[in-house]
Amino acid sequence: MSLALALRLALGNVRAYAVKNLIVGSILAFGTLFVVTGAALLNSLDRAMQASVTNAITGELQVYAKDARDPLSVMGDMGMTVADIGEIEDLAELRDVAASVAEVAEVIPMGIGQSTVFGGNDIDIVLGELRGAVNAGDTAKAAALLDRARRIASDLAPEMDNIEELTSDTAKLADDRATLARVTSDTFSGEFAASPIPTIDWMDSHLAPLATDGKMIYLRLVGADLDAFTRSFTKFELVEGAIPMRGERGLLIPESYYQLWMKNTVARELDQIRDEVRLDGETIGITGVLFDRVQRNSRQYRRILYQLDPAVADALEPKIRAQLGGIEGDMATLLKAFLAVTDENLESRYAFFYKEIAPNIRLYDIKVGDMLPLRAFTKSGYLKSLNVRFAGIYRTKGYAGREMMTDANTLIDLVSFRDLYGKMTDSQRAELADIKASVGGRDVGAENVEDALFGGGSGIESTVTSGDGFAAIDALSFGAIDARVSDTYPPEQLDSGLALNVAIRLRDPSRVPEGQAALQAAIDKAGLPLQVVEWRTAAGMIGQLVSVVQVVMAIAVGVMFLVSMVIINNALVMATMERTAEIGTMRAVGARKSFVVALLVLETLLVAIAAALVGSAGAAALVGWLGGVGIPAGIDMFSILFGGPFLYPSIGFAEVGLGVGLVCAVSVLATLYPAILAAGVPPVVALQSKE
Amino acid sequence: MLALFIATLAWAAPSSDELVGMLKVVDDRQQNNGDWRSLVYIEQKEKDKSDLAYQAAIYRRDADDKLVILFLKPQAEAGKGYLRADSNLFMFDPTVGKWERRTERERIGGTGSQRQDFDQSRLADEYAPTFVAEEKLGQYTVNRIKLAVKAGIDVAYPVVELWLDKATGNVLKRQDFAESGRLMRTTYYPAWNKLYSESKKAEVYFPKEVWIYDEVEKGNQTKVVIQEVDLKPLDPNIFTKAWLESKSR
Repeated sequence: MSLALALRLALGNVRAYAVKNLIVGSILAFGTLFVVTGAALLNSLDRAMQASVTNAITGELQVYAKDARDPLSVMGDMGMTVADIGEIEDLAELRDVAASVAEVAEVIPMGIGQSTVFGGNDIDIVLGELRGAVNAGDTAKAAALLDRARRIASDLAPEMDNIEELTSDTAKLADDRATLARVTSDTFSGEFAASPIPTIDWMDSHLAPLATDGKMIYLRLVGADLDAFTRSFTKFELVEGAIPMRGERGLLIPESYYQLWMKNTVARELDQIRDEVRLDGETIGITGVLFDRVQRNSRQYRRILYQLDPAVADALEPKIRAQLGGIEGDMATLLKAFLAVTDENLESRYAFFYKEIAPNIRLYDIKVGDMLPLRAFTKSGYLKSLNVRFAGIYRTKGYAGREMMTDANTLIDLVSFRDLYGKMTDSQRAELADIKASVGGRDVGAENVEDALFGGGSGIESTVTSGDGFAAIDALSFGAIDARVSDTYPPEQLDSGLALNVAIRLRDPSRVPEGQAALQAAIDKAGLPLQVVEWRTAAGMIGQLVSVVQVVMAIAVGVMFLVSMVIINNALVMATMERTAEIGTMRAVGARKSFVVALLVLETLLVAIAAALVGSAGAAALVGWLGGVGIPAGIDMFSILFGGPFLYPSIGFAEVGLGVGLVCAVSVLATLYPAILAAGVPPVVALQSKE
Repeated sequence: MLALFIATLAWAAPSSDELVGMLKVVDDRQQNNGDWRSLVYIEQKEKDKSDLAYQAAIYRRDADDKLVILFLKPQAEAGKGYLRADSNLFMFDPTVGKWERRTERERIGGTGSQRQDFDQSRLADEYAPTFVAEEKLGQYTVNRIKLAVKAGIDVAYPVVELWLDKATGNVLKRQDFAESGRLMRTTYYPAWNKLYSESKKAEVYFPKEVWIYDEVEKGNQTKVVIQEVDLKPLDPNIFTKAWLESKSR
């Protein structure tokens, strides 16, 4: 009875105070818009970040050793060192445990390390090919390569004049000049023909050191069961080549890393200059940063020149000369001038470069299908090398960027990773013990070394006789390279043995805490010394960034929400207090305090519901529009967080429910206090205030 | 007081020529006019890592400044090697079949030893000495000498300090410093062996053991034991890339 009456009166009052309620309602509607939109953006960002990271490499969970010295950082951090995350000694045990946990969908064994690729400078590469051609009896190829080496020497000769001004080591300078003179002399081809290998050896140690150092390629290796990895991580996308099958060795290099570090430096710089002009609207001009970059790139012309076979260079020369309007000069001069691009000729030169020059040089240091000689320090400290086929190039969808290298993990099959990681086997440990035992001797620590070594004073010199074990050593042969490491391995090796960390895919990605707790409980029950961490923790720097962004976004939304609430509260307090006289009248005609309070709250609630619905509709429209056009990432780091260049937010009932609920609750709370105050005013006082 | 004065007068720091003479003695004793080969054991201890142990054969032709290091054991490392030719140090890894030019600071096989620890001594050619002090090293009286690299010479360390046994002239201790003056490593030579050389018509000296302590990564140390030495002439083909490659065919 009283509720129906209150509702009727409330509706009447809402109509009676239409203007005032419109103003309050607008404030509430805007508050709802903020809250719902903020919640939708926050949730969308959270979902996007989780999808971006978990579908790229981490999975929802990661498992690694409990006694790890460093925290796991699957996506890497700023340092060049590799974290010591301990070991998972036997994958089979963990697989068994994970199989018993209903939440777990897939187990992907991994390992994280780094390696370098054997390399050399431009002359080293030519001489390496020359040695190969001589050994293969390919005289035509050898002649062309020798000619190329001689052209390089010709180009280096004028450099000696520059070096003369900088060096005080005149003897070395004279030696270097003599080397160049010998290589470029008319008789050198004859010398080479007479004894090719000794001549190459001589060039190796005299000519090659005159070129600038070659590029060192570093790879951050993520060892994995590549089949499971590429199947399970949906952001993986093969760009070129093929994914190594189970049982095949191979590595997959990320596209952005390949472009940045393995492309011919002149070509890469030309790409970047063009991007800055076309995409960023920069100009080269005649001064400034871009102009300086162009000039520097022009001075790097040798990166092109040294790779051109003489016959190709001869054929190219007139074409480049024509591009340059028929200027005089040798190939070095022409290339230097060609690379000094301007705003006017950038496009035509760029097109010419890729049409005529690029096909004749090694545009990339390595190409798909090459056998890469990797080298890494093993766990036990040995320097370990391994040939692994460069099987393909991949990209992580949404991770491509121009400004920074967003995708740096080279994927390698787990078995090759284990080889490079080099955990000592029992037989290797036994061999090591045998070697040590064969020598015997003592251990002396640094703290007491001088007393231990020189404290006795028992004489320093002894006379010995010649050793007799060398005949056996001379006869030693260690077997063919190919026989030591096979290109394939038994696929079942991926199911057991060593891993450093394991990615876990959950059946329901929205239930990460539940999955984490269940798997950790099962691992603890099985007595495995392993820990389970969720993707944010496992991702490393990116994961921390995700958390920071989430906190910042939550604070921003929270501040917006608080400000909205304060405004709503003020508006309602003022609106209620203005009606003190009216309340006094109601009280004078017999309305009880509770009825008055309920009436005022009901009025506010009616306005709040209407406003919240309007605000939510506005938020839905706004988020829907943003979801259509996308929020641009702006910088590469955000593109990782967004999982692409744009964030496409979406809105659900949860966000609308949250917004409507919050706004209604705050409105009621904000009305309650002034309503109680107003209802508490004696009718006489209230009526006097009207007069 | 008078006695002290007389003693001071009687003892004088060695002259520059005398110091160079000391270095030449060290160099000459270790040099063989002909060839040299040795069987060495290299052991590396590093903090928080398993020990490493190698056995390697060292081949030297001092007249041509050539050096080959061929790893024999363990099996996984066998066939790896280094070749020094005309101031270049090349490394060969049979697992990948590649050669690579390395620097003077190359840690041989990843240990704390470097090329200079296996090569002939060239102290007098490479460094200019100054006298520091006469000191005691354990039971031995030693001359402490500071060496600074000569212009245009490529060495692993530009500044070196040597402790030479006053009685025998042998190096007992060596400290290597970076350009900045930072101490990089300390090496001890507790005993020296002598072997008669037909080609030299004199004895060739070589350290029986070399103890190398890393002063940057404290706790890392390397022990080199020269197990056998032979001074007979060697096949010139040994000092080629082809020879090292042939060991892994």
